[in-house]
Amino acid sequence: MALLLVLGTLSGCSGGQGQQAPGSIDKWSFATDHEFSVRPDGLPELLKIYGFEFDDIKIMDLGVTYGALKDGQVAAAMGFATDGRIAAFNLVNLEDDKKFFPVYNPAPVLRKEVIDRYPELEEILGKISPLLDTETMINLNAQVDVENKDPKEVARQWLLEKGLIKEEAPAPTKGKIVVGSKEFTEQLILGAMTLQVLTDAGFEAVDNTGLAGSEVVRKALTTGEIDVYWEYTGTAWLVHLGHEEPLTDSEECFNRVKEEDLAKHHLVWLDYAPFDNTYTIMMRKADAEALGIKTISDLARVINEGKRLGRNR
Amino acid sequence: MGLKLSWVRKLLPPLLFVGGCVAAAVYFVENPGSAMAARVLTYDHLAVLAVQHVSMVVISSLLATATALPLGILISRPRLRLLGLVLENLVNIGQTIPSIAVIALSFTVLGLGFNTALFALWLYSLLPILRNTYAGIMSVPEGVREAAVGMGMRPWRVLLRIELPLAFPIIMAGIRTAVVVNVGTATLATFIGAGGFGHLIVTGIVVRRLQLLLTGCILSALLAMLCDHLLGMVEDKVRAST
Repeated sequence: MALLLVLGTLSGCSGGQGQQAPGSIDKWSFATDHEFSVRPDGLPELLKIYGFEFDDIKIMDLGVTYGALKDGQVAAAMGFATDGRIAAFNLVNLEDDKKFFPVYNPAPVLRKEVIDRYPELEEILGKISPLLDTETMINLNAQVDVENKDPKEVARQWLLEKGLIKEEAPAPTKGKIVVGSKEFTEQLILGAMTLQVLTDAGFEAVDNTGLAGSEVVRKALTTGEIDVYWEYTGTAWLVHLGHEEPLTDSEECFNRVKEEDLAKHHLVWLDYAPFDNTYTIMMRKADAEALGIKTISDLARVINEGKRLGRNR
Repeated sequence: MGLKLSWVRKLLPPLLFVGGCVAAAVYFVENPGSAMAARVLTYDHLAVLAVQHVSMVVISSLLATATALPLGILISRPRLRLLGLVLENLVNIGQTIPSIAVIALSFTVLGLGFNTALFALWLYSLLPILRNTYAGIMSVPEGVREAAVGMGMRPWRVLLRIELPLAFPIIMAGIRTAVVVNVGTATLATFIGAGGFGHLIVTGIVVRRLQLLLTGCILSALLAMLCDHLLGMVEDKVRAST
């Protein structure tokens, strides 16, 4: 669906209902992708915890939710905290005041046999993680999603800048390592970084990035179709390990996921990056300011009051 | 008695297709297999998706037929034969554009939702109907046409009494092809927020829940078979009456 992603980011896909005055929202429609609409840490539970309903939930490709919100086709949308389009499109993340969303720090995950065969991978990949703070990741994502640069090129420039790779990659002398990733921008960048540091270290790095959805990539890792990819701690804890209680502390979440994944699935988690790419609920900045909405609780209150007034009319 | 039996025989296949859809829906709603799938697999939700999918297919197919049939007749007229040749080649080229591209391109112009999906499906269905209408009329032997004119028939009578009846099976094959392809293509509408059975398929792939994937695939496949069969019945009826 890379095509939709590209087209969705072409600024100004028309067909919205036109821009109304800020804050005059008569229909609270919400844009989400397929995964968020069913996940245990996703939309259904969020609505339950915060106690409100949207008038209409539109489910679409992940690549087009930001554009749909920007163009006024929906009143609110789901997004990712580190997405570069949030600032570029004048959107705002609503504060998760009830701490519903778990932490999602990304880390490279490998099968145990891969790291046993190449112990140096820990050091090679470990050089990337600590340098990825929230600001850095937002900036890298924005270069792809807003400036339409190629994720591979963005990754390469950053790695060169940080001195993590050399200009010329050596000829491969070591074994083959297949790198996977999910399909959204940040994952493509992380995948591209991984491919390039492996190539730089003399491995034959094979590109299998851009797979659709967490479950598909995870399955590819456990079945040996790929050897490494970046997963988010919260996703592994809730979706892959099947826990119902989300964890909201980065360190604790990482340690528990690491321990359990090694014991149960022979997967090794390397150190996690400091940025937390949690889900967010976004609105257009102008609407949020006009309605005085800063948190998701504020949004719930505005929607519920509107419903009550509407029913009393 | 014989009359009754033939009715049963006629109505049995479509009832089986519909029954299959209902059975599949009931089975998967009762056995979703996981909490994630259970969120999606409810009777209410399946009904909404079915209405979205069927209305997308039916409306876009009707509009496509209403557009492509007259256009196909028009370009088969002797004066416009050259245009017909050009158009036919254009249509063949157009047919090679992937359906997802048609949907994605429509989205950039028209935005999200049902109407965009409708437009894309309409555009994609035009091609087989237009091509078959043109080919069907062109396949009428020149001798037959000349004989009709020699008997003093006006051009539009030649069209209605000779050309269209002879071309009918080919035209109908085009419509049937378009509708069956349309049912499949409509599963892509979920990417632009237009719902339909594609919602089940895509969600099933993304969160790896086989029950969701199967429900979407089975319902789409049975719907395609049902549409094809119903159109076949229409075709038989029309042929019997001419």
